[in-house]
Amino acid sequence: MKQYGSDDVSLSHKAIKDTALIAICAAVLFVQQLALSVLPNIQFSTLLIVLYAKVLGFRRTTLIITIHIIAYNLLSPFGSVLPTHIPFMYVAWMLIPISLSTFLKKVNSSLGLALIGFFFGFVYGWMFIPPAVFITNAPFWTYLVMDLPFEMVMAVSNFITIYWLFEPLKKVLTEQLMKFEGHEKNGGSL
Amino acid sequence: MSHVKVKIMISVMVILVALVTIRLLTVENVSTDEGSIYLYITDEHQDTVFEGELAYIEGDSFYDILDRHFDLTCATQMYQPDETCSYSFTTPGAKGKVILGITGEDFSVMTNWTDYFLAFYTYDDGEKRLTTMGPSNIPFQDGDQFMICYETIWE
Repeated sequence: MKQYGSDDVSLSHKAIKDTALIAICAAVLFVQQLALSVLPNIQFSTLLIVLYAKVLGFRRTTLIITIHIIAYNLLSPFGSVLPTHIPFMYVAWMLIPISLSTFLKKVNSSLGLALIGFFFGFVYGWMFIPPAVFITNAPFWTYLVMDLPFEMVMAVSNFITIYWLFEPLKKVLTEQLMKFEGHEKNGGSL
Repeated sequence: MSHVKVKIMISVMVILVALVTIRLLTVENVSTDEGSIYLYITDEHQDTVFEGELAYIEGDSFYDILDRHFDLTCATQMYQPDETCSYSFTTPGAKGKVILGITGEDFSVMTNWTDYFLAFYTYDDGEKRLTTMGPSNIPFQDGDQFMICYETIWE
């Protein structure tokens, strides 16, 4: 029979705490997106995913986005996006942790991240062009032009929220994470 | 200048640029002269229940033309039928009504938005194309042809 040592228990505790943390962060992301659904493209999702990517890291953020996409498309009272569009939605959101873990890793200022958020507002809209054009047969140029106002709203929403709220939220989340990890190092429980 | 003042200035500038851009992208498709369009309307059996020429006057939108010739039922904010058509949906770059039903002298086509809806088609070089704008913003010119079809969301 396998004997479990203190390292196994510690790892198990860490995994449980990580799971709880990821679930809470995914819940915050989901609830705010639902609460702001009445306002087209105005949301804190980009801010939160940038925050998670910077504070929690790539692995946890990937899991949060995965849960969010599944939960949003299953539970949203406004209905899911077209099933053919879901992979594109997932890839679009994943661009944030991927870029912030690789070629944009050194960007840490709120202005720099806000500019990334602004640009992402357009990229997010463009990610839906392939399914719109090739699956639902929407005309390319018309779709591109008609979507621009919505992309602009998302871009500005991303810029303002990241520019003003990233630093204070990062401070709060980092403090909480340090307490959390401090407990972990001392072998204590939450 | 303090850090907060700089942040406020940058934020205001970004918002202003966005508002100007959205305003420039907003097009108002209303007629500049008198004329007429040719319209087909099909019901749930795909039978043509109306076919004819509709005249318009200067300043009309596509919705105005329909409203002048038919009794329209529009959607409220919660997509419930409203015969007064008092509610207009507002989105960035566009404002307009959602038409759920059209009633003429000898026909009536009514949808519920949840399962059935009215699809608006235009003819481009004889080819039927789904319009990319709602009835309040559909561009049109004298002699253009349109088709309004009762369609199910499941097709």
